[in-house]
Amino acid sequence: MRKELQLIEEIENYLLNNMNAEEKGAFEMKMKSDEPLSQQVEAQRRIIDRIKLRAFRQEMMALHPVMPTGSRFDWLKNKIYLNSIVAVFALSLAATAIYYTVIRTEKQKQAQAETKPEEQDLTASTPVGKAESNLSGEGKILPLGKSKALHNKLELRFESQTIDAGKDEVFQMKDSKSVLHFPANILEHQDGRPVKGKVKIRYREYRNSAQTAFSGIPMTYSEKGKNYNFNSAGMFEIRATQNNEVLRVKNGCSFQVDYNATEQLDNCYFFELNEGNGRWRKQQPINFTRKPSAQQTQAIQIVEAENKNSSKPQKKYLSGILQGTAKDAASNEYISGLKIELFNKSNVLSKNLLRDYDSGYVVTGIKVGQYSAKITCKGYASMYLERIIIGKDKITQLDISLKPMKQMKKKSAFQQAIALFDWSKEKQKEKTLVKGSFELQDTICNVPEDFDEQLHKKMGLNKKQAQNPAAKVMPEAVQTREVDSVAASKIKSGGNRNGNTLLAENINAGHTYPNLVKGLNCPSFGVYNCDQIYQVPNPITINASYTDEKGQAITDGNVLSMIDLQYNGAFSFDPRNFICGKTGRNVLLLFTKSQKLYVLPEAEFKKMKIRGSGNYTFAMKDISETVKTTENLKKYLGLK
Amino acid sequence: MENEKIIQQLRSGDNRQALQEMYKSFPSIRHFICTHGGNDDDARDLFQESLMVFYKNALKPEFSLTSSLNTYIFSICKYLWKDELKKKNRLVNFEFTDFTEEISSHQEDEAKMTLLDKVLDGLGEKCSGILQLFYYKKKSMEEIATQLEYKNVDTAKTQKYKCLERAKTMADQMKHSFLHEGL
Repeated sequence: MRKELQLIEEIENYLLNNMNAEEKGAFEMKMKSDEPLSQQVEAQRRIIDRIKLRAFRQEMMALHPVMPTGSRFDWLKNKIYLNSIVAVFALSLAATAIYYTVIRTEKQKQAQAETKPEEQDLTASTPVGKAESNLSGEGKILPLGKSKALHNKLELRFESQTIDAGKDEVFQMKDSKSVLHFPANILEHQDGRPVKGKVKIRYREYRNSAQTAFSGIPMTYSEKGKNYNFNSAGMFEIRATQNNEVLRVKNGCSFQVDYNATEQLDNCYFFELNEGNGRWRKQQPINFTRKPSAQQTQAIQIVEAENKNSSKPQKKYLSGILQGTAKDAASNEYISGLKIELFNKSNVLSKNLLRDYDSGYVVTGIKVGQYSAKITCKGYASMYLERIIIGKDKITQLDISLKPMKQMKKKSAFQQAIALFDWSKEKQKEKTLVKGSFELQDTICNVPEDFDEQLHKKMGLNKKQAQNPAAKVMPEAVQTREVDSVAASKIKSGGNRNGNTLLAENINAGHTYPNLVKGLNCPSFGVYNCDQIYQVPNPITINASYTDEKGQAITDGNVLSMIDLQYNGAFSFDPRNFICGKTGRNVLLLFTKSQKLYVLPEAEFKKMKIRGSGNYTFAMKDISETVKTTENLKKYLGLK
Repeated sequence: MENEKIIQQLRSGDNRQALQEMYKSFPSIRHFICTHGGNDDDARDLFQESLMVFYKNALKPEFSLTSSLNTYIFSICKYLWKDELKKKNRLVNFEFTDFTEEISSHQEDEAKMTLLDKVLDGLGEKCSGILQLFYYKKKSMEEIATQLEYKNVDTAKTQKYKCLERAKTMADQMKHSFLHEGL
């Protein structure tokens, strides 16, 4: 172990009281005469204390939803268990009375604020996490869940749908048009009992900065020691209850959401919020496949032409479009027009499609309905299966066999990444371990972060060539045959959806919802987000004070929400101290403890000509009376 | 459950059990806050803040609880709620006593921890995981090595120290950038 690490170990032994009296005495003496050592000990102690405290907070927040809260539902639940049927009847009468006298009144009061009281109760017991601080180490972190209460009255309402827990259920939400897929028997109670009967699913989407600002949901993300902001293509929250009891998804199970994203963003990922600690966890890349540009189309045409004239597969290349035919051994019929497009990261078309995804698997074979093809991909090299077309019919399901990454040899990955494609030889009878079925739009990939760089190096491309590697990279194995046209419609669709990379529906033209991202895999109820991550350009730290229109100081600021109109997202700060981009189109929203809402519009922010970090006073405008809903704010800010 | 047992659970990393016990106080606190101008969210925030104060103190070897846990948590919540109401210029019509020093110290500490939180946020999941398992969950390095699939205990140990080193370096860098904040 390095000397520095040995010192850390020694300090740890001291702090954890793992030293004997003699060692401890000697260490303390050393500290007295060595100020830097003393500071190191103190710093380490603070870090350890903070780790414990944060972990405790996380655990507490995570447990809160399942703890007895003393709410009217707990009370009712207990009473029901304890009393006889007669008592239940009496209680239901009482509950009805409570409902009409208390809840109904609340509902009426809050109708203006878009929120249903019953739904508020449910969300109040499920903390959405901390309002995040910022991106690069400055600004004040808000205590976990602090901003949540503040925004309650302006929260978005849930859409509700009742399903049968014992059946496969697929339904489209009326407002958002997103489609939810719930397999049968995936839900359980908090104590692990399986859920039977009717279940209420509640769902809502946050689609713009105004809605995000009011939600108080954190919009920052940390990865490899770096902090990023979210530019959102849409976020959603989903909950399930049965008789007002919050339900959960069984371990190892999941449901899927076909999400109608707000826009197509490059480098977009699907994230899940850890509601205990307010941190986002990266789930899957989302690929918005745009139509190829003229240049890209040309690259494809070249590829096709080259391959059609090529008698031998060019094994050294990693990407290509494979055209061929298949023969069904059983019926002796040919399938025509088969086209598999394979891409890896070096291909222009797929440049935005493949991202690092820690799935732990690579594709080793693909089975299309009853017809098989073998496509191997070794090491880290990965491929992208864009679509398969058989005749005029589109196949809607692929069975893909997977092999754990650990078993793959990483050596000479790029040279070994050879796609073998041979439909006619009927070699595909070998047994493959089918781990799951994937929709056509789904794909598997495993690409290291520096894939492009490594690949270009291997290929000997200079920087300029690397910009358009497709011009140099030719496809590999391709075989074409003249065949009859036969029905591919025998192939039926269906099966599970469990993709690792997601494609928007727009890969084929003519869809009603071109931004629909299919098969977002949700292993639990909570908050999910489709985002591009970015670091704020030219960040500055502002120590802020605020005045109202009369010039009087606003002293009860609770949460500051910073919106950069260039992005879809809102970032919550302690009002005294926040971060923003120097060149951003910044708007400030100040929520006060007295439930007022102030704004500093973009134009006013610009007028201040803020050039760097420092102390600034912002003259805010009170919009409490004009902005009462997220829709009001959206219009006020001129958001799409 | 006896106070001592809860404190012992918190010190030994059996926090879930302790939390379940402590949460038994929540309904009465919720009732108090809701009948004194607050709502469910206020109650939740105050209650959780009071548990943080208690947890922090419980980790100190010299700490012992002289009153019942319920009384202790209730007093802290009352104090915090009084503070909150005062800030809103609202009338405070209930009595509160004790623990003011502990709460003030906790509030001051919280205000100072901004940068340290940023450091820990930036450590990444792997580091956070190993540090939490060791310091918070009190897992042995053997257990951690198995759970996190390290080659052996020594590798896990080295990784843990590297994470601490990284945290210290990051904290140091931030401290220099923001001297006025103080760590």
